[in-house]
Amino acid sequence: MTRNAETLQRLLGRVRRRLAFDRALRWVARAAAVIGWSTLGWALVTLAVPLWFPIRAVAVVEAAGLLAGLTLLACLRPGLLAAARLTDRRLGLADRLSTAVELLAAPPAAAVPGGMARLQIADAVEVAQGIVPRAAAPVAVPRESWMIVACAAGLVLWAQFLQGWTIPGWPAARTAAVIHGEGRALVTIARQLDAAARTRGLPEARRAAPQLRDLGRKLLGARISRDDALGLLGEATRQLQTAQSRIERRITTAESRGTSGARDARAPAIPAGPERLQQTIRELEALAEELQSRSAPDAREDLSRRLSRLSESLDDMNAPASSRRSLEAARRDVERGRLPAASSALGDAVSDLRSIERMLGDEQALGEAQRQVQTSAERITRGGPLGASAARTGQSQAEPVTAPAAAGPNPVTPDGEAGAPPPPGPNQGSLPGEGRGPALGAPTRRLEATPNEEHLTGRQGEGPAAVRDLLAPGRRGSPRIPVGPVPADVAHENDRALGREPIPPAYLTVIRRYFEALGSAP
Amino acid sequence: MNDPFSREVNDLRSACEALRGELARVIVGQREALDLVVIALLAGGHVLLEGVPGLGKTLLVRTLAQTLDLRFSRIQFTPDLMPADILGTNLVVQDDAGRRRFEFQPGPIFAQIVLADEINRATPKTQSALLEAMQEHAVTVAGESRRLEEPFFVLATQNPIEMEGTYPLPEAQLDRFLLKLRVPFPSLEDLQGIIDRTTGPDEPVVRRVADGAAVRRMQALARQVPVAGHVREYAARLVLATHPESDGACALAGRFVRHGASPRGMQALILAGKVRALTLGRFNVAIEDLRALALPALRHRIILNFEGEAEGTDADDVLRAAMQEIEAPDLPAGQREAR
Repeated sequence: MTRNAETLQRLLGRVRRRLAFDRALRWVARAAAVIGWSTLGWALVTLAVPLWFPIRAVAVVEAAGLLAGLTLLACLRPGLLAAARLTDRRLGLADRLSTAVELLAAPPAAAVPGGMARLQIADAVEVAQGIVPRAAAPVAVPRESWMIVACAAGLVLWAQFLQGWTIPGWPAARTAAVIHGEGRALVTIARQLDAAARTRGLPEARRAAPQLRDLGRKLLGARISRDDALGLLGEATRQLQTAQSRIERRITTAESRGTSGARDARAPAIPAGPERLQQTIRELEALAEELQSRSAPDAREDLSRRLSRLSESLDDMNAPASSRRSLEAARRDVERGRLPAASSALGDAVSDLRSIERMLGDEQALGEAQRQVQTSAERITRGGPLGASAARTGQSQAEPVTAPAAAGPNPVTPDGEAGAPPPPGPNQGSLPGEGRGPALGAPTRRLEATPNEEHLTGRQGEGPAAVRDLLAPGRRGSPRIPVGPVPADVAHENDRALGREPIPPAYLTVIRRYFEALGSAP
Repeated sequence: MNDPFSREVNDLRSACEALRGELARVIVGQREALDLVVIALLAGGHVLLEGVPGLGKTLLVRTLAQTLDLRFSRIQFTPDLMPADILGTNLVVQDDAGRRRFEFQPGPIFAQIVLADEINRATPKTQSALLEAMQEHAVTVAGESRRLEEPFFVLATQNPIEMEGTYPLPEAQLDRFLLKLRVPFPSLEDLQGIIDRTTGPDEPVVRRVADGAAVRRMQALARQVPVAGHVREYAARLVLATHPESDGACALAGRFVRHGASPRGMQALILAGKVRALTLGRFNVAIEDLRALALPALRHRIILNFEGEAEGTDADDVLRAAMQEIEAPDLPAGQREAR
């Protein structure tokens, strides 16, 4: 390569770099304009259709892609001849450079007679010395720049003012209604969870309640997309699962505390459920009181027998070993006449069982909360990609919010507006924080049916059992069938059946309380 | 640049400048015509000057002949002019011994600068007598070919207005002219200059600035100017654009042209471009050279169809349209977007 060729190549090299960058800039600007318009269109469509649109991820991916394209294209430099021709044209060099490049590239046999070619190349090199690469290959702002700026501004405006907004009547609006309805439901559930946690002293539930409330409030926000909502619900589910797992570990630890080996493999933890546990606790507390008042030997035998029965009951329940040991110790102390020691051992057992009861309550409450969160997620998901069934699901999920959670026959208006305060009636004020005044509403309408005066007589457990369906209007007065303690397995099965039914959590709590009240009735 | 080649190029430029200067001492204005005549001379081509009477066409040629140390002859074309009057003829001559023999008496064509004044007044037969001389630089008389002395330069004039008793030049004849110049009417300033220069007591005197050998050297030098590939492509595409049947024909050519420019027109374009480049201080032909020379080099080679004639379209219009459509050869693939 001659010196002139090297010089020409070097001088044109700078032009080539700038040309490559300018070309890359133009292509990337065009691509960015297209992508920008598409993204903006995508964003605007979300106002009508609940499409997935993670704006930050999209922006990052687009920016990264454009940057990569810019780098790649900038590396693809134009050929020397092309650069020479462009320089000739832009600087008005009358094809000096391109002719010289051709002459230098031509094989010697095809070269123009040496003298004139040499002069031409020398002339071109001389001209090239004065080339300003910036003038030869100006890196201009692409024409599409205004489009990119407009798209970026549009996206910023959309993110600031329009994100989450929906056009009324369109699928996105229906999905938003579902999300808001679920948010209201979650706020209500959180309130109930908090109340239950305070009443029953459930630490985990008390910690979870504000999270659930915050989640509900976020869903209630005017500008939350379906994907954001599902993301939040998923995160909440994970947190609740973590809390539940923590509680389960604690229960397992408590149950195996004091035992030498692994936990009793006969049954899962506290299979009898919290109701039977509560009943046992109450019995133990009653026994502890009796221990202080009854010191006669015959009384001790009775107490010992009852303690034995309770011990068996605890065994059946697969209660923690420590409580069972405490109960056994209490029984032995009673037999030996050491009533204070027996009372202390009973207190330990009660304390252990109370602790287990709280943990079970925690687990139950968190389970309900988790179910509610999952139900909300399912309802929002069932809205479909176009939110086709969103209106229907929005209607159904609004019920737990508007419906009063207290026991008793209370008409729930099926077409009641989601989020509206509970209707005036006998249950007004039964939901924490939902009451609006002392006035009672109109009496609940009774079933229009002929009363069936037949009822069962006798004592429970005696005689043949008769099963028949009763259909009768409710009436005032005490029940004719004496209330007795519900067997533990029945209560457990009932609890599981309730959990399977699509009953709103608020009602579940009411139902459960009702049966607990029945179970604790004398 | 002190090598001999560079000196030759510098000599050529100096000669051109001197030639133009001497012509300008006599001819007022007509700068473009003067330049193009010099270009045609150095390119080894012939020039057809077209203009109304009194614009100085003949004076221009006469002055050119005076500035060059070349043999000059003028042929006034008339309808009764015969080919032999131009080429010469064999005459029977008697020597001192009384023997008779044929001796060739050369006609006025046997000069180095030939002015064919009002060439369109002669019959086609006579006009055709110039064909061989212009193309081959030789004439054949009585079966014997005779070379013309180089440089051989024909300048013909014709009046575009007066058509009575004239014979339009045939296409083959027109194609032999390197350039066809349209001599425009002088401007106000030029007219005043003509008055001053031609009605005073002193007549401008020109000096000789080059001889035949110098002209031949310059012609040989001009042919060595390199032409880049894309410039050649432009010339070819420009010629093709004047052909109505070609794929690259411009719209106007497709509508109004019967026959486009010949390959000889492309040669003329490049040759004239080489000289122009040298006279402008360049060592390469540029597209701008071709664009500047396209009209004089190609206008007389385009034959319009009846519709074109009826519409009053000119070959210049077709060429301008072609240049506008072609503009410039495409850049290599992948670079077009960078324009």
